[in-house]
Amino acid sequence: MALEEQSRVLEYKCPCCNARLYFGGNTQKLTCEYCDNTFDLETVRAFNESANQQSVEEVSWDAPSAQEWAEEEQQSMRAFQCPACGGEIVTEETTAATFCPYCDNPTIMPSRLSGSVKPDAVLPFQTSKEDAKEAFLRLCKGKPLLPKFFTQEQRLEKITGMYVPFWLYDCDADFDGSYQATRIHRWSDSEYDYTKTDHFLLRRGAKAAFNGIPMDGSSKMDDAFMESIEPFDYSQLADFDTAYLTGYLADKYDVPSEQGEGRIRQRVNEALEDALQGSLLGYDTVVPTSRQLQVRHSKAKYVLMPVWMLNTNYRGKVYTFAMNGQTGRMTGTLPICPKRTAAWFAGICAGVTALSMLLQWLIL
Amino acid sequence: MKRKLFAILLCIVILAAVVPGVLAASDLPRVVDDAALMSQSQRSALEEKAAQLRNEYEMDVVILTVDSLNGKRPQDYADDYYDENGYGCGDEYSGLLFLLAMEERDWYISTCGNAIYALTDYGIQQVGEAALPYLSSGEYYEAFTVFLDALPAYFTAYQNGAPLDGYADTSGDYYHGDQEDVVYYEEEVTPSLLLALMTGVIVAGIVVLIMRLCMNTKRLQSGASDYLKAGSFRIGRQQDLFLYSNVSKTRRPKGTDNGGGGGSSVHTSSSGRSHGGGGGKF
Repeated sequence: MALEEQSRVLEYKCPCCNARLYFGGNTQKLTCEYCDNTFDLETVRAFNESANQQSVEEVSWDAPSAQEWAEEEQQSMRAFQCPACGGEIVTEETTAATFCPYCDNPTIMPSRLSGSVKPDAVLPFQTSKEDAKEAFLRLCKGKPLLPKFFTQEQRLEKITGMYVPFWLYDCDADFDGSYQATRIHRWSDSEYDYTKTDHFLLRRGAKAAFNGIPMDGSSKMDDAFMESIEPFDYSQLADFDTAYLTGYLADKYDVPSEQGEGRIRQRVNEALEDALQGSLLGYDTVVPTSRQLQVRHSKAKYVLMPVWMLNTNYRGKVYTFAMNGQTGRMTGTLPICPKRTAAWFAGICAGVTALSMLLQWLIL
Repeated sequence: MKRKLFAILLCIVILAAVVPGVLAASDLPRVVDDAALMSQSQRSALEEKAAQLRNEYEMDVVILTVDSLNGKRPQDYADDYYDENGYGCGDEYSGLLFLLAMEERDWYISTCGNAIYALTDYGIQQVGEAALPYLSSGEYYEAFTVFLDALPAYFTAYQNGAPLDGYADTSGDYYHGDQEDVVYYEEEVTPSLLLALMTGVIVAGIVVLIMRLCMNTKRLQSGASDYLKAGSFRIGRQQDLFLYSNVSKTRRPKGTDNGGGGGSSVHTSSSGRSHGGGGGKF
C-alpha cells in the first residue's frame, strides 16, 4: 500500500552494537555514541540494506493509525512510528529527517526524499554543534552595543543542525541597457564663466552565465537569513544519500523552483549592472533610462544545505542565529542596549566636540 | 549699627566705582566750537545727534573747530585732542573726531578703536567729502549735519561684520594719516562651540549608526557576482552616441579686491594709542 510505503522511516544502526548512528560534520563519518566506532557511509549503507527490509515489516502493521487524522490534518501532518521505542512521531508534511520526541532517536522519512522530491545533491555538515557555540560567542565579541550581561545571562535554548532545501539556479542572462550621460567642461574668460554640457546616449549589451545562485526552498526559513550565510562551496557537494541526514533535521522543499525565479532575476540584474559600471566611466553623470534583462536556460537543482540554527533566550526574548554548516559563517540580529548606545553617542560626541574646540583654538 | 555702616560704605564704594565713568563719558562736550562758527542752538542740535550715535553704535563722535593749529599737523592735533580729553567708548576708546582748522583751512577726521575699522580710508574720504561743499561755502552747521548723517551707514555695516570699504582716491586734496600699518577688518573668529557640537553630533551619529548596523548581520545579498561563471561576462554592444551639446555662460562676480586701496591706515599717536585718519583742504 502506498500509505504504508510513505510511512516508512529510516534509521541507521550500528553494525557493531545496533545503536543509532550520527553523521559527524568534523569526521565526515557515521559515529556510534555507544561503542565509539566510526563507519564509512558505504559500509553502513550495505549493512543496513538487509536490516531495513525487516523494519519495513515491523512498522507496516501500525501504519493505519495515521488514518485517524482528519483529512485536512492528513494533508499537512504525518505520523510515523519510531523504530527504536515504538512511539508515534508526528511531523509536518515537509519534515524529512527528525528526532523521536520520546527517545530522541534520529529518524529519516525516506518517502519525503525519494522520487520527484529526491534531492540532486547534499552538502554534508562540516562543522559541529561546538563550532556553532564558538561561532556564536565570537559573534558576541567586540560588540560595544551588546547589553553588558548578554553573554552571561543568555541561555542557548536550542542548537539545531538542519538540512535546508535549496534551489541552485543556473542561467544565462542577456542584458540590454540605455543610459543618458553627460560630460561637463568648464572654462572662463575675464567676463564670463562657461559651462559646456555634452549629452550622450550610451547603449550597453552584455551576456553572462551564472552557476548555482542559491535560494532556499523552504517557506519556514527566513530568506534574509539564508542569503546572509552565503556562500556555500559547491565543490563539496555529494551525491544525495540519506545517511548524511542522520542526526540532523531535514526538510523537503515546499516552495517550487519557479517561485524563486523573481528573486534570482533581481540578483542577476544587480550583478550585471555592477559588472557594467566599469564600461560607463569617463562621464560626469550617467542615468539609466531603460534596462532589459532576459534570463534563459534557467535550470534549478534541488540540494540540501547544512545550516545550524541557534535559539537563545535573553530576558524572556528569543534571538535566532543561523550558521553556515559548511563555512561556519554566522549571522543574526543581536540585541542593542539603549543605555550603551546613548553612552557611546554621548562619549563620542563629547570627545569630538572637545577635539574640535581644541583644533579651532590651535588654528585661530 | 555695624551693619548700617557697612551698607553705607558699600554704597560709597559702588558709587565711586560707577559714577566717575558715567560722568566722564557723558559730561564731555561733543561739539567744541572754539572757532565760534555756529549758534548755541545749532551746537546743541549737533550734540544731540552725536549722543544718539554714541548710544546706538557705541562710537564717540566729536566735532572740534579751532582758529589755528598753532603749527601742529592736523593729524597730531586731532589725535592728541581726542586722547587727552578722554573721549571714546569702551575699552578701545572707540570713536572719531572731526577737526576743522579755520586758519589752515584743514579738515581732518581722526578715528580710534573700533571706528578705525568702521571708517576705513575710503570711508573717511566719503564722509569728509560729503561735507566738503558746505564747508567751502561756509555753511558749517549743514556740513556737520551731513557728516553726522553719513555715519550711521558705516557704523551699521561695521556692526553687521562687513564694513564699507573701497578705493581711497588720494590723487586730489585728500590724504590719509601716517601709514605705519594698514589694517583690515577681520571678523572676530572665536572658537565656535556650536560648530564643535554639531561636528560631535554628526560624527557620533554616524559612528553609532555603523555600530548599530553591525549588530544585524542578517540581510539579503545584493547581486550574484559570486556565482558569475568565470569568463562568461562579455560586453556585446558598446555604443556611445553623441547627441548634442549646450553652452551656458554666467557673468563672473566682481572680485572683492578692487585693485589697490582698501583698509585703514593706522599710526601711533603721541599718547601711544593707535589712530586712523584722513583729511584735506576746504
